[in-house]
Parts: sequence; structure tokens; C-alpha cells
Amino acid sequence: MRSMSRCTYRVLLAAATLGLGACTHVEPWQRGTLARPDMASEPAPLQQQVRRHVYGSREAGGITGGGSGGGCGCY
Amino acid sequence: MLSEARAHDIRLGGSPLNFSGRSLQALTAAALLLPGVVTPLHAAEPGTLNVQVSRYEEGRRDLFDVDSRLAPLRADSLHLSGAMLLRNGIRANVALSQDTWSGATPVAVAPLAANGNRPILRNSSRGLVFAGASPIVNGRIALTEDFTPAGDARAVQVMSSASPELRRQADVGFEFPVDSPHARTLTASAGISDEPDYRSRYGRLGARIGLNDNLTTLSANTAFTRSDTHARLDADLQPYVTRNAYAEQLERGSPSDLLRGERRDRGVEIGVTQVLDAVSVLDAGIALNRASGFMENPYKVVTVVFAGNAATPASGDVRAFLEQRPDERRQLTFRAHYARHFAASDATLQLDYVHSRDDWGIATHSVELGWAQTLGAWTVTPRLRYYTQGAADFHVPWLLSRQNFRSISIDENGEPQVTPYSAALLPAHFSSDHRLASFGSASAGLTLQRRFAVGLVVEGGVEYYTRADGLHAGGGENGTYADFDFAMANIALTLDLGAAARRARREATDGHGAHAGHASHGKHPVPAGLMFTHAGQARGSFMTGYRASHQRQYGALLHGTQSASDDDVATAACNATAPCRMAPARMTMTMHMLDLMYAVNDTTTLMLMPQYMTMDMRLRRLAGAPMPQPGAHDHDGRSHTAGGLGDTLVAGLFTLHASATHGWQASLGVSVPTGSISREYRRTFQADGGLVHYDMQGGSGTWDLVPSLTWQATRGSWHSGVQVGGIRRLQSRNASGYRLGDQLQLSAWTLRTLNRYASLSLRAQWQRRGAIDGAFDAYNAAIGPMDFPDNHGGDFIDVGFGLNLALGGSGLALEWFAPVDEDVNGFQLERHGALAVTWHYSY
Repeated sequence: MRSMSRCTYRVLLAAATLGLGACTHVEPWQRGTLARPDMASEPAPLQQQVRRHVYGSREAGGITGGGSGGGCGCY
Repeated sequence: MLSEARAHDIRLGGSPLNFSGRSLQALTAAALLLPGVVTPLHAAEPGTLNVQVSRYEEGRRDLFDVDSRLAPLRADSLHLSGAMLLRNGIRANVALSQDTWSGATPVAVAPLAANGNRPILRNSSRGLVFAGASPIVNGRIALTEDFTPAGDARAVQVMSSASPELRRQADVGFEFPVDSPHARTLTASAGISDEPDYRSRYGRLGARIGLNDNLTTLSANTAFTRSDTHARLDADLQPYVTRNAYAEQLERGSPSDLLRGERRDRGVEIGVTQVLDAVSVLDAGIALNRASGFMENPYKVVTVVFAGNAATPASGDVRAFLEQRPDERRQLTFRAHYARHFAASDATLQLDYVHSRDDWGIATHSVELGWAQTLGAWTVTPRLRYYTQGAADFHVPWLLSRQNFRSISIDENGEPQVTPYSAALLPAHFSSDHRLASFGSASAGLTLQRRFAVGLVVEGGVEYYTRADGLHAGGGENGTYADFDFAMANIALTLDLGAAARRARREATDGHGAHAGHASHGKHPVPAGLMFTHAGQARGSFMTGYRASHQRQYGALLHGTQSASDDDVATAACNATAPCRMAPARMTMTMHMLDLMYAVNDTTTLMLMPQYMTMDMRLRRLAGAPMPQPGAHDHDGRSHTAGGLGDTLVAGLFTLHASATHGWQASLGVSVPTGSISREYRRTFQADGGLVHYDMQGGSGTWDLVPSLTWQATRGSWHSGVQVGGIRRLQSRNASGYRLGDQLQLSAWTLRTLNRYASLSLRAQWQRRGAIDGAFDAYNAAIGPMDFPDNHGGDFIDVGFGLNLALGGSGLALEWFAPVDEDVNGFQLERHGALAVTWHYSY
């Protein structure tokens, strides 16, 4: 397998470290905004499902963990 | 006590909340579950139901000097899903999906000089008509001294059309809370996706754990997929395709070979969701997927120009090879999602980045920017996305090989010897699939969501996508031959069952339990197969419903009221010059309809009803029928399917009179011709396909008037009614040259309420449907009675037996419809009943 550039990994690791380091503690009663649907990882899951299916049959990238249907995309 | 400053930190839907009492308790509980960042707030409710329909449609491909009349690819999808909270906090998810697609798709890339995409014309009673395009590129082309085609050397996609094809998918999943204070959850899911030439089964296991006071959530998933390909090769193309590399996977068959392959995918993914502060969150993950086995597309070929082994070529021998991809692929994917809410503008920034890299040499990047703007109960989210990918190492538009495809020499005995090409002189792997090329794409979309206080979310989305070689980061590499664009649109409805249950409890507490039981049907329940009876809703109220019906026809062919012999059908059901060869052996039709209603006032309700249709027909050869002529469409014993969006009904429902014992309602609707009437079979088996049978088209193709008049009466626990209605076509012809017949229908029913939960119904219906006027004005194979306008319509009498159930604020109704008498026009397949199911919820 062609190795991903070490530089890319380092940049990602640095960004992740900085991101986590920048966290502030949020009390439970301050989390109302975080519970909004538009703050979710998938804000509109039904929409995202359609788009992911189409992208998956038209592009070569981005299999995230597998384990989903979608057919062969033979068209 | 909370401080006042903290109180202002609590916002939901953009509005500050008074957090005293239960609202604070509920909100805090939701926040404490804060993988809620991973699992949205509404997921904590007892359950949800989702319905979604979507359409994908491509623009025409640029074939340079060829005016292809093949219809671009189109796919219609239907998705139904539900989630339910079971005992001990276990959550179950079930999803059913299906999509139907048809249209033109590229099978190869070739130099323009190879003359692919040649139109196939056919004589018909309407003169010379377009019957398809040849995907065959085999032949000889002149080559220059530097081995490029002497003519137009530009690459062009060679297109072939595909008949309608149906894919079905079912998924089931569970979430098991292990330790809810620490948000430890195990997940398990499995599913199957099935289509005529491909089946995949998959399973997934995962775990989530909350750390750091649930501000950090770690997740891990592992998945396994097994996929089986069993593709019937294109019978037209097969004689011209070299497939030696798959000799062990091919099963010889007639009229074409079957190519089998197996693929396994294994994947692992780890992710972290981190709350950065009270208004921003980061979600990131990395996944490794390993695929092994058959990863080729069995319908894609690569053009190989054999230039011979001379120093100066005279001409090239153009051949087509099934593509050959590596049997292993490992792909690493990194994804990140960042969301930040801006209280001042009540909007949320959503930023996504995905990068993947694999050992085929493909590296991809995608960046997406969304802005979710809350406007009262509406959320409007415009999105922009950019995607770029590099090419697979083995991607080529077409190949040049410095050898002969076949050499003939004379041996020492004077006998001719044929020496085939050497596979060793060809690359081990090659594909001209444009999805493995380098390219970039840009897309823009808009999502609209409307949230209702009762837990209903209606959402819709549109997106336009353009794929271009020139959009590749770093510049274009291949020319514009594979550039294309598409659009997709969808509408979805999500209902929170918790809200329905709470409403039912509230109504029971308020002493309106009996009404709650009948909320689905306005004042009284009615049999499931009836429409336009939901008058009398309170002003400003909404009603949402799902309606499905499944009809079956099989058995004898009827002529009028009598069974007809195959001889009768062959000689009289088609025409004198072209006797029938085939007849339908079985046909099923399934309709899914979404009911969206709004009561403008106490007497007027507006209705919008989009529908999704699926049809399946199996044909048989008529005994004693003539054998097909060369070039004639024929598919003995084979089942074919069509599906997609049907016509959309827009109607007004009016209460003319209402009293405690009886009422009159009228409706006036317009059927908008959103269903396709140009579905075609591809040219295959050396035979023209042409337009699919009338009954397999998706709609009427005309604007239609749909009126009805209903009388209902109540006496004790008995509810009775009579309805007369019909369909009047407002246009003389649709775009395919014909018009479906008008319809007139009379129903009478009585329904007995057993208790507050259940009712039984009995209904009789008479229906008259007119024959088709006009005929297809494009090529249709006309192989059996279903292809002739006079063999449609008739008089039909049916009896329906129904059951209605009240389910906590919503209503479920089922009705089995059995044919009693039928007098068909011409020759038609016998009917064997229909099942209607409706579910309605008013709020």
C-alpha cells in the first residue's frame, strides 16, 4: 500500500492536538446549543444518506468503515 | 440554584428557555447524554418514522459529433425507516429502501475515429425511428506514424442504454446502552442489498463511550461486507468482447454468458467527538477498509487498438476487453466535521473535510461548507462542496498495443496457424471507468427543514453537481470527454412517535380519547382504499399519512368476461400483420403515496400526494405463437421491473354539509404528470427494446382532473358512506402520443366500530376504465396484448374487507380487495385482488 505522506499525518496530529487542547469545560446546563440537531455530526441524516449514496457511485473516495449497502453502482 | 448568567446560556432552537421545572430537567438530561452530539437530541425520543423519496438525473453526455438520443440516466429512490425504543433502553432501527434506475451509461472510451455510438434506426409504421445506439467499436482504424488514430483521435465515451433495474435494501440495527451515565453504548447492525446482478450482505459492530464528563466521545466500529456479482453479459456486446481473463468465472449461457465474482470488504473505524466549548464541536475519524475479490464493473470494457509489431503501422485493429482491476484494495480515509453555532445570527456553520488514499494510487479530497440558518420553525441550509481525486494507476482512456490481436501464419506443413495476442504484452490491470480517472467536481445544494411542534419534520433538498476534468486540483489531464453533470432532489418526512404518544395521553386525559382513536380519518374511520374522505379537520391542523397498495394479476387471459385461449390471443389480441407472440403471465403493481394535508379552515382542506410506483411483469410465450423475427424484442419467461415517481395529486377537499348524523364532502384535484411515460428497454439480445408496455410507464403523462363526491352517515356504532369519483384526462395526447382512458368509480361501504381501538369494514366498488386513446408514437416492440391500446380498461366490481385500528393518536387501516366480476376491454390478464394499507396522523 502506498504510504500516506508523513507530513500529512503530522499536520493532522498537530491539528487534533491543538483542537483538543483548546477545549473548555462545558457544564451540563450549558449544553443546550450542543444538543441542537444542526450541531450533530449528521445534521440531516436522511439528506446525507441520499448524497452519500450518489457520491459513492460517482466518485472513488471515502469509504468510511464499510458495512453498508448501496449496490454495485454499475451504472 | 443556577445563576442568571448560566440561564442565558441555555438555548434550544435559537430561543432562550425558561429553565425552571421540567424543561430544564429534560434539557439537562438530554445534554448529559451528550454523545447527543453523535446521536441527535430527537434520537432520545421513543421512536421515529421516516419516509423519503428522491430523484437523481444526469445531463446528456458530450459525445462530440454524435447526436445521441439515448435518455440520460435517471434513478428514483424510496426510503422507509423507523426507530423504536425497546425495553431496558435498547433501541432498534429498521430501514427499507429501493431504487430504480435506467438510461444511458458509458461502457467504454474509444477514439472518435473508431465510430462508436452509431445510431441504430429501424423501419416502423411511422417511418424510420431511432431504436438504439451501437456500443460496438470493433473494426480497423487508420493510424499515423506515431501510432495515433489518423482521423479524429479525441477520446469519446461509448454509451449504452440500460433497461429499468430495481435494487432493494433492508437494514436492521440495535443500540444497547451498557452504562448510561457514562454513555457506553454497543451497536450492531446488518443488512442486505439485492439487485438482479449483484447482492451484498453486511454487518457492523460498534461501541461508543463517553469520557471527560461526556465532553469527549470515543467510538469504534468494525464492518464486514460480502458481495456477489452474477452479471449477464450484454448479449449485443458479448461477441465483440474479449474476456479470456475471466474464463474461470464465466458460465456459458444463452443468449449470453454469466460472469460470477465474489468480493469481501472488511473495515475498521475509530472516531472521536470532542466538545470544544458551549457552541462548537469537532468530530473526526479514521477508517481503514480492505477489499478483496472481484472489483470490476462487469459491464465496462476497455478499447484496445492492436497496432501490430511493424515499425510503421498501417492500421489498428480495434478490440474491446473486459476491464481488469486488481483483486485487492486498501483504502485509508480520514474525516473531520466541525460545527459552530453563532447565537447572534441563530445559525450554525458546518464544515466537513474527507481525505482518502488507497493502494490503487487514488487520493481524494473533499471539502464541504454548510450554513444552517434558523428562521423560526424553518432551517435553511445552503451547501457548497468541492471534490478532487487523482487517477488510479491503471486507468487509461484506451490502450495501444504493439502486437497483433490475431496473427495467421503458415506452418511447415502448409497449414494455417492462428496465433492470438499475448496477454503478457498488455498491462496486468486496466480500466477506462471515468470514476477511476482524475477529475474534480463542484456542487451546490440547499436543504429546507420545517419543524412542527408536534414532532414532525418535513425536509427537502436539491443539489446540482458538475464533474469536470478541469476541476481537478492541479489541472486537467484527460480532456473533457468524461465531463458531465447531474441534479438530485428529495423530500422527506420524519415523525417523532413520542410526540404522538404524548398527544394521545393528553387527549385521553382531556376526555377526548374516542376522538383520538379516529384522528386518522377526520370524524370517522373509513376503509383503507378510499381517498378524499378526511374532511372536517380543525382549522390550521395538519394531517400526514402514508398509503400503500399492492395489486396482483396472474392466471388466465380474459376476453371480455371469458377466458381466452392462447390461439385466440395470438390471432386477435394484437394485429393481423403482427400476431401476438407473448402474453403477461404475472404482473404486480405497488404504490407508495405520501398524504400531506392542511386544513385552511373548518370546511376546506388542501392535499398534496406524491407517489412512488413499482411494477413487475413476467411474460410467457403463447402456445403456437410464431417465433420472433430477427431484431424483434423477446424475453420469454423473464421478469422485468420498472419503478419511480408517479404522478402527483394536488387537491382541495370541501365539507358541503356536516351534522351529527351525516355529512357531504366534495373534492376537486389535479393530477400533475410527474411520472415518466418514456421508459424504454435497452436494445439487447440483438433486438430492439423500445418503449416499455403502457402499464409499466410511471404515470398518465397528461394533466388530469380528479373530482369526487362523498356522503357519510353515522348511526350508533355503524358508519356508512357512498362515494362517486373519477378521472378526466384534460389533454388529448401525452408526450408519447397516447392518452389513458377516463375513469368513473362508485363505492359504498359500511363500517362497524367494535371498541375505541378497532373497526371492521365492508365495501363494494364498481369501476369503469376507458381504453387507451392513440398509441405510442415511438418504437414499441408490440409483442403482446399489453402493447395494444384496445386491451386496456373495462368494467370491474370488487368487494373489500377491512380492519381499522387506532394507535395512540394515529390510525392504521388495512383492506383486502377481492375481484367479483370483470368485463375487460380486449384481452387482459385476470386480477387477483389488492391489499391497501394506510397510516394517518393528524396534529
